[in-house]
Amino acid sequence: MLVVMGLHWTARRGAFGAAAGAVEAKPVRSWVRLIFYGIYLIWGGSFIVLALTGFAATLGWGGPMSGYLLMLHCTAAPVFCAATAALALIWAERSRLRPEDWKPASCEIGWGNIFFWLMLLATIPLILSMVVSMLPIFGTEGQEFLYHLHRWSALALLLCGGYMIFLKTAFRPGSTAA
Amino acid sequence: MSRTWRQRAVGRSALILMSAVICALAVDTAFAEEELLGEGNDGNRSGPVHLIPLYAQIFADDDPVEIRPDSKPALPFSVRATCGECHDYANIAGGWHFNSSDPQAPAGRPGEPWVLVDRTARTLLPVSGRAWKGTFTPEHLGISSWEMAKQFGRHMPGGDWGERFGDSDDGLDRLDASGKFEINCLACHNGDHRQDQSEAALQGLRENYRWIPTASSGLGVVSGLASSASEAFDPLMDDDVQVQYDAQRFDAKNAVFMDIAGRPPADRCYFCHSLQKRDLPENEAWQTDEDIHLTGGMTCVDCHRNGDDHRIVRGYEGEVEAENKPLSARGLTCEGCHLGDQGGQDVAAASGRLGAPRPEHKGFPTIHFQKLSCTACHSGPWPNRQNQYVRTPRIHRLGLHGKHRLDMTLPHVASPVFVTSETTGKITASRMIWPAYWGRMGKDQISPIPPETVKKQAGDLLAVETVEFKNDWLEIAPDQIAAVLTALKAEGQAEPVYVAGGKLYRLAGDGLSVRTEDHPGAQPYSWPLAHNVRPAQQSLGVNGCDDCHTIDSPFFFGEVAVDTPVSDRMDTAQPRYQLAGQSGTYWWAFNASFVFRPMLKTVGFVCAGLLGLILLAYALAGLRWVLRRIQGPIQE
Repeated sequence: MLVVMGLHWTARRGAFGAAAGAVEAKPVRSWVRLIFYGIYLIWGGSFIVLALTGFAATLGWGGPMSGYLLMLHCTAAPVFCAATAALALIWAERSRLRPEDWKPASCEIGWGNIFFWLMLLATIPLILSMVVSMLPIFGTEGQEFLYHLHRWSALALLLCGGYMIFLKTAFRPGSTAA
Repeated sequence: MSRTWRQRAVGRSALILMSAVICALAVDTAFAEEELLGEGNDGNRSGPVHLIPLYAQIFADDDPVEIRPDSKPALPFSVRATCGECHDYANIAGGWHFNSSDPQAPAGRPGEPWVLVDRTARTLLPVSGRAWKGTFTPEHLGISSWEMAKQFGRHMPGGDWGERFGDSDDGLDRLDASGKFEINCLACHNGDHRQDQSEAALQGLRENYRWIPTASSGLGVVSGLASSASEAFDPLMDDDVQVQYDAQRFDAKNAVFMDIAGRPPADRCYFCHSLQKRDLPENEAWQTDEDIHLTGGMTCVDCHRNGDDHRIVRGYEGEVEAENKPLSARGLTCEGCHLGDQGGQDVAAASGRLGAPRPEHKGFPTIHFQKLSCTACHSGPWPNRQNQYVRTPRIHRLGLHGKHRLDMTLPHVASPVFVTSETTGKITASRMIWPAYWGRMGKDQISPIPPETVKKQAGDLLAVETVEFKNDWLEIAPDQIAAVLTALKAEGQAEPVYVAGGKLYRLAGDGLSVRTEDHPGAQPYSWPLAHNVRPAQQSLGVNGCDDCHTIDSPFFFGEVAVDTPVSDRMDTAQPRYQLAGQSGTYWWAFNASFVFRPMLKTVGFVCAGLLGLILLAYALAGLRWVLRRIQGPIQE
């Protein structure tokens, strides 16, 4: 994914920006901005912890997490859930899909929004698959299914979230790419 | 002319062919005659009636003699000669119950050992011919086959140590008098309720090995002691041991009806494979339940099956590989019956065998099945905060009802203890004993000194008269250990040591005190338990995660007392997590995190709900935009 990001940035940094100014966030007070940055920081931090602990288990020994890794993962999980919900509240309006975001010179904005919504979409099964597995509803086969759903949702979230961050930072209006 | 030649040629060919067929049939018949009557299976599932003559065979070189109720002298019937008429005795002798003394036999998963207890020598040694890690073989301890049969024959079905003797073994001079301790098929297969294994044990203690089947089956009454007979005792001539058969059991043809159970009833297995909870008064044993499988109508041999070779399926994970058993043995484990090969083509490997319900394990993360054996949650007593002890027939001599009854309390068998299996890596419900013995330090292992040698060399230092029993042990103080070690040091080259309560005691530099250290040879010996299996509703986890995942749960933080005669460590205990090789800090922290689990669930549901609402709101807004785009041109 990092390679794709690099290629994308190299190919598009010059072309992006002709109409990027069309989308502008409303100015917010400085303390609100601080809260926003705090949320971004918490979301990003918990995102990284969850990705590292989760994929370390999957790529490291192919099995489910256990030990301190699992504890760290479970500690970061509710923080991530809350931060994602807050992020959704902050970004939902500004990430509405608008025809003007799909102009050739600024389509990264549109794609960034698409990935934002896909990320939110992936987050729901990601959360529910683990929370529901803690309830005495699903048997062994169901638990297996939920576990795999969690893993695939996490992968989808990682890809969408990662690319969204890339698009929204590298190609935001006024960025160096523009 | 040519036609006549052709006719002759055809005739000769037919003759040759017929001769070949007759020869083949003759050879086939000859081979068929080699197969004994009781071997194989003709397909009829009703059991054969065992109305059979009894045979005596006092010495191996003698021809079997048919027994009549009025024979003088009345000789004991030989199982080898009687059952061996139709069953391959040598093949059976390689079975699990009879091969522990055979170094070629696969050891398999560690099991319940014999335990040599000598209170005076403060010794408690797990003994097994199978060389399970943590046990000592009789060779290690200088115990002969004769002595093994004498000590532990009370709960042996014969064969094994009773028949395998080395040329230099002790007790060989007594064999002519006692006879070999042959496999007693009736110990397991006698369906007659007169079969008395307590009587068999008594005859064994009297060294009346040759008379055990006769006395224990109730076919005859045996009196006298071979142990007190001279070495020149001849059962054909002397009457030191006498048999009086029950004449009514013989028919007109001198045949006796034997109520042989091809599938032994559970009661026969129970004589050696029972369990008694020590925390329950004896007269309240009625409160205990049977294994759920037996309650459900099954019997032991439904799972613990065997063929003619008597290599009984023990039913544990990995048995096929460890004991070179047929693949079908895999289908007779917990997983084999309850989970099986779902959707597979092989019916024998499919789940649901014997009506086994498929467990749902609702709400159980699957990691439990990778880290825990089935028995961890389903077998043995429900783990309590405090220590629990059990007694078993083979270790504590249960089931002996006559003068030979002993109310043994040592060794203390702790159950359940959770131990990580070296083969599966899973936490397994186990039973545990703490060895205590004197030994000599080798390069990397300790060689135990036989208790009799210790008592001889230590003499009065083991002071029995002045010491009181504490926790069923004769207490020994550290300075007393030092004195005994000094005495043992004078008698041998290698450094003498003492092992007890998981610690190794060595003489300190001053020669007057001891220093303690950890050593692999001092570790407690544990073996997995499988029964009794509790009902699903009494299994760990039925009340939710809190059955195990609390900061004081018995499963992790229950204590197992360190069993030792050493006075300064008698009141110590080890938490279960430690015995399982787990980190207490980790499990405390992990279990403590379960306090936040409801919060985690709440946060998860609230956040997922909020995200769902946001997505729904904008999806509807998007839909509205699409509809406007569609309807706009239409309205225009």
